[in-house]
Order: sequence, then C-alpha cells, then structure tokens
Amino acid sequence: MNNKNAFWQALIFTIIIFVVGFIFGFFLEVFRGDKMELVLLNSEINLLDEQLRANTGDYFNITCNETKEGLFNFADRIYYEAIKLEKYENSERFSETLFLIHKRYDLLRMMLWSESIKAKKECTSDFHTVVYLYEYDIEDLGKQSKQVFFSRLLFDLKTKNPDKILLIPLAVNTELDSVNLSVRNYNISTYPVIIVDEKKIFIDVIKFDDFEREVLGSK
Amino acid sequence: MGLNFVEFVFFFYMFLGLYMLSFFVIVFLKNKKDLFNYPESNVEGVSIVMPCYNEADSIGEAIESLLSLDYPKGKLEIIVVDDHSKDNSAEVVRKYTKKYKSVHLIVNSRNSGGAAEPTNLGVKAARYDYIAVADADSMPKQDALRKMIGFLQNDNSVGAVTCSVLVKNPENNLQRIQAVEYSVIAFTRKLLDMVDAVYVTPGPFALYRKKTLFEVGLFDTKNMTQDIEIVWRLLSYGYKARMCLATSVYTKSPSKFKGWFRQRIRWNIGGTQTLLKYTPLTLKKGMLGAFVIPFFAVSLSLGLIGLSLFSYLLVKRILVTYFVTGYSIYADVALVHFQNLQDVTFVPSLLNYFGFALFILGTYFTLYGLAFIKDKELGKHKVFNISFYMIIYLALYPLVLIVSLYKFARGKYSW
Repeated sequence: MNNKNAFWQALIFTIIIFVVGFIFGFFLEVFRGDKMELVLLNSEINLLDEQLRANTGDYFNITCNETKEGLFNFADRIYYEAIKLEKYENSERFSETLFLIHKRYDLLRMMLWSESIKAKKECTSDFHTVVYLYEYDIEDLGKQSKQVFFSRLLFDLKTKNPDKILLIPLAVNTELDSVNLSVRNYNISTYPVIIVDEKKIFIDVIKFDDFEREVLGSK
Repeated sequence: MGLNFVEFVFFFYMFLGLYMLSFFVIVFLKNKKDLFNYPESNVEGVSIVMPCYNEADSIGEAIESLLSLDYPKGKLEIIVVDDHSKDNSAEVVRKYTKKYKSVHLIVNSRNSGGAAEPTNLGVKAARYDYIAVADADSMPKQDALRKMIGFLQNDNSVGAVTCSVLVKNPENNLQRIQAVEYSVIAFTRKLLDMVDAVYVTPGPFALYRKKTLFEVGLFDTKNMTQDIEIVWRLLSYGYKARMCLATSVYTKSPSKFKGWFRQRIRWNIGGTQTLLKYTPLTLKKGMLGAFVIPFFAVSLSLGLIGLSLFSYLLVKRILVTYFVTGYSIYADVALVHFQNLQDVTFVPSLLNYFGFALFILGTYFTLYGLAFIKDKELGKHKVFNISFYMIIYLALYPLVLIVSLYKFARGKYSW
C-alpha cells in the first residue's frame, strides 16, 4: 500500500470540501439576500403607499397628523430592518446582493428625508428630522469609533423621544447621486455627521443632554 | 463585500488545517490494522547511553528501569555520562557500577550545557552495535527494547527508532494536560511514520545503529534539540526514522508553568536551529525536503502570522471599544444597547461555519485517536483535560514561539 498517495488524496478531498463549502456559503448568502429582499419589497410598497397618501391628501382629507404618523411608522420600520440587514451584511463574503439591498434601503431613506421635508413645509411640524450621515465599511479606527458612538447617541435620543425624532441614517459612500447631491449643499468635509432639521450640523462628540436640547430646540 | 486580507489568511489556515486533518484520517484508515505492529527481532547487544546532569533524584530509578528491561542481561550495557553535575548524581551512579557489571559511568571533564556532548561520549565508549539513548528521568516499558530493535534489524535503511513518549505519573492539571498532548503526539507520530515522515526521536528513549551515528557525525553539540537534529541528518543521508506504537517510555513532565515554558522555549529554539540548518534541502532528500522541512517552516510561519493577525484584530477591537466607551461615558449614553440587537447578536459567516466544522472534526479525530490507542494510561484522560488542551493549551503555543524567536534572535539561550 502506498501511503504517500495520502498527500494527494487529502489535497483533493480538501479542495472538494472547500468548493462544496463555498457553494454552500454562496447559497446561504443568496438565501439571506432573498429574505431581506422580501422585507425590502414590503418597505418599498409601504413608501409608495405613503407617498400616494401624501399626494392625494388634499383630495381625501388626510391630516398632517396622519402624514406624520405614516412617516414615523415607515422610518422606524426601515431603521430596524436596516439593523437586521447590517448584521447579515457583516457576514456576507461571496455575493453583493446584500450590499445592493443596502443601497436600495439608502434610496428609501433618501426618499423618506425628502418626504419629511415636504411634510414639514405643508404642515406645522412638531417633529425633528435627524439625518445621520456615515461611511459604509470603513477601516479608520477613529471614524469607526465615532460612528459607533453616534449610533448609540441617536438610538438613545430616538428611544427617549420616539414621537419627536424622525431618525434617518444614510451611508454617504455608496455612490448614490441623490445622496451625493443632497449632501453637497452642506459642504461637509468629514464623516460621520448628524444633520438636524436640515440646518444644524454636529460633527464632534457631544453630551447627550446638550445634544437633546439642541435637537429639540431646533427650528 | 468579498474577502479582506485577514479573512483570506484565515481561510488559508482552515484549508491547511483541513488538509492535515484529512491527511491523518486517510493515513489512519489505510493503516488502522498495522499501527501496533512491530517486526520480529533477534537478541543482539545494545548499549544504553544515558546523559545526566543534576539528576540525583531520578537517576537511580531510571537505571533500575533499564536494568529491568525484558532483554537478556548479558546483551545489555548501561553507560551513564555525567555532564559534570553539581549534585551527587555521579555518586548515585557509582553505587550501581559497583553492584552491576553492566553499568558504567563516564564523567565529563566539563559541563557541556547540553545532552549532545555526553551522549556522544557514551556512543564512543559503547561496546555494542546498537545504541539506545535514554533520559535520566525516564523509564521505558519492559518490552521497549525487544519491540523496537526489530525495526533496525530488518531494514538497513532505518537509522533510528522511537516509541510513544508518555507522561510519568501526572499529578497536577498541567501534567495531565501534557499527558493528553503526549498521547496525541504519539498517535500522530505513528501516522507520520506510515509516510516515512518521523522527524524526531525524543530523548526519553530512542534506538540507533552505532555505525550509522558515526557515519552521519554523531549528535550536534550546538543544537538545543539534538534529538530532532539527528533525525533530520539521518533523513538527509537517506535513512528513515521509525516509530513503534506498541511500546512506550514514561518521562517526567514539568509540573509548573515556568518549567513547562522553559522546556518549550528550548524545543522551539532547537527546532528553529534545525530548520535554518536544513532549509537548503527543501524539496530535496526525499521526505525531509518534501514534507518535514516545509511542514516545520509552514507551522512556524503560520504560528507567527496567526499571532500577529490575532493581536492586530484584538488591538483594533480594544481601541474601538476604548474610544466608544470613553465617548459614551462623556456623553452619558448607554454603553451597551440590549434592545439594539446589533450589539448582542451574531450572524455567522461562512468563515465561522468552516472554523466550527473544523474544530468539531479535529476534536472528534483527537478523541477517536486517544480511544484507539487504548493504552490504559491514555484511557484515563478526562474531558476537562482534553478540552483544555484543545482550546487553551494549543492557543498558548504562538506565544511560546514569539519568545523563542526573540531569544534565538538575541542569541540568549541555554539548556
């Protein structure tokens, strides 16, 4: 018996296992992508519904409160969906499905931002739009730390003031023209950044109380 | 997304890990019935050389165990070479020389600082054609010589024979974990034997042919692990080393972490010395260049790269956590958001699945190997010791490697 064949046999076996593993991994990611796509589809329908409702509000007596409620429900929904998506994204290795879904979510959030501006113009608003601009998939430790901190800060703010804060996190480096054009007006040179009610910009670490005061006192 | 550099390296590690595991499984399946076999032997004279330095406490017991070997007494001589001990080792041995004609003592005129020089002195003084080298704190099983010598007698291409090295009376947890380690090594070394890739004949008990030792130039006195180096030299001369799983030698293992660490540093420095000496023979000289040298080189490099990557990721994580915690405390926001699932949940990637599967397979193979060996002493391993060995003990190795290389680079090492 030639035992030295074991070197080649083990190599072939390992390659087979790895190929099978990669195929499994690919399908796992496609499966996760499909799952997220379904969720996204629901959100897209929800947004279209919301837009339609806003556009037809004049004819069907839809109140500002109902518009606000719709915006908030939608914002909250895609906020939590995005958290789930991000978890899946972190484990994605072989396909770009989830990244593309992420971009579609960013588009939804961009539309949400624009809807909120429109709603605030048309109604007397009692809520604040907090847009969080961050960079997707960054290596810089300083920025990473600040982004984690800002996420926590905003999460706390939203948790404490659920009906007053319309939270819209947006990735700025996903090459979406609508996002780039909107952000260009603010002359922002570094990220992450928080924009409150399209006016106030927060770049530095700030105490929660001061931040809350600034946001709620904004107008 | 794709794989980043770190993930690519981890996949490469897993590929190699799975390759080695598959290799061992295939060799095992092919040779399951032959692992405990040993060739028939004739009674021929054997000189047992036992280098000794400050071993007064154990040398008597070691000589007694050699005297009780199941081998004709008239065909055995025991040569203890005292390497200028500071204790009364020589006195202890002298008592045996007076009592037994077959026991001899040579006292080195200076302390050489290693086992190679006293071993060479013993080999030069040996009467017989077969040389067994034994440590002064080890005790071979009674049948060791009888079962091992046939490998040399029946095949002229065999230059050295080793057997299972097991831990003698493990008393504390460190020793019990080493007992697991030694058993696993014995099992895998036998599998390597099946492809002519035994790369060490450990000091506790090994057998050589005298003329072959002289042919290759005896043990290297400059090497910290002369028992590794001699095998590589034998391989480079076209000889093979064999492993006899059917018998074993019991050796004292360090009972304290400091002693264990020092021992491993010495092994690693010796291994590195040997690797550097024989690197020019890569891909030459049969299994030495085709497997042993690359296997050692890859293990060394992977250990270092793995530790570097692990440290990089750890430092990165610590820095981010440090900054985020600092910011959060300053801003008075929650440090962990349990409602925000992102902080506490984990979605496994393919890399995680691969790692987990490899760990399970490796563990299963280790347990199966330990059970297969069946040796009564091996059967006593507890789940805790095996788990600790698999998860913690092996993870300490890269640290030992770093310290060893640092000492080696500075040239500050001794026995």
